[in-house]
Amino acid sequence: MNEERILQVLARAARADAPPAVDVADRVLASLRAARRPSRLIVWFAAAASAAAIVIVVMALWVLMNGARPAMDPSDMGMVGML
Amino acid sequence: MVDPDLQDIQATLAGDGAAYGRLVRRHQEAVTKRMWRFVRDPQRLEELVHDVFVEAYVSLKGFRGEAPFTHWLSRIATRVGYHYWKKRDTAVKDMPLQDWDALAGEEEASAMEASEAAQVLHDMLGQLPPRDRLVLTLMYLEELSVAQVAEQTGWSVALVKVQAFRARKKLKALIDKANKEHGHRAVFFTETQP
Repeated sequence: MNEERILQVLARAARADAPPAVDVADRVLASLRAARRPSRLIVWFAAAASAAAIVIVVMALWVLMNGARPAMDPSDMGMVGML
Repeated sequence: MVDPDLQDIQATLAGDGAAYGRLVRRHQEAVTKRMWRFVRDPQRLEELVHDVFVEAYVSLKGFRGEAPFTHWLSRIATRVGYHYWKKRDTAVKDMPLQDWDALAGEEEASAMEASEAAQVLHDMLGQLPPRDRLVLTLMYLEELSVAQVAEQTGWSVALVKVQAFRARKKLKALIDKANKEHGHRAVFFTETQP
């Protein structure tokens, strides 16, 4: 096939084509360091959110134990003897 | 003797950034060579090589060590290059006339400088869709077998064969069209046969 032949001839010549020298090691490491930073932020955010959640749970428990009473508790309505 | 790649991979996974730097330095030349098939602009070449190593880092936990690190890395490089072609409509809409002139005969084509031949081939394959371009690049420029292309692309062997057949057919159609449109002498395409 003619197109096959041209591919072969061009590819044979092109294989010797050397790319420009590239050194990306420092840039790659810098990118990876930069990419890690947001994950630390997420960890801090998660820690703060967890702390806030704990505070809310403690407050909710305190309210439940001290402030809230069932509205229809018979003992509060003096109906214990009637039952 | 312990494979230095494996050592550095384990150290990298344990959090040693310097170890990954060593891996990059050891393999960047081969990756650069591979990515030079996908792009001819030195600045974009550097970006692509960078992207290959960033993606390799992200996927490093998935490296099982069953095949050499270079094989695994070249699969990633192929994927990155292919996505680059797909993402940025890199198709060359029309091959420059001087490229066709350079291909007037097999002798002219054979006598081309390596960089010129690479550029002409890049422009010519650039007129094909990314999948066709990829299969021909790997088969002809990288001299990979059908099985190796399948391994690099993740396609089946049958699909690689079909894709290569279709790609060559499309290339032939492009060449015929160019010959008609440009009234090109194109002896090489139409007459010469070894």
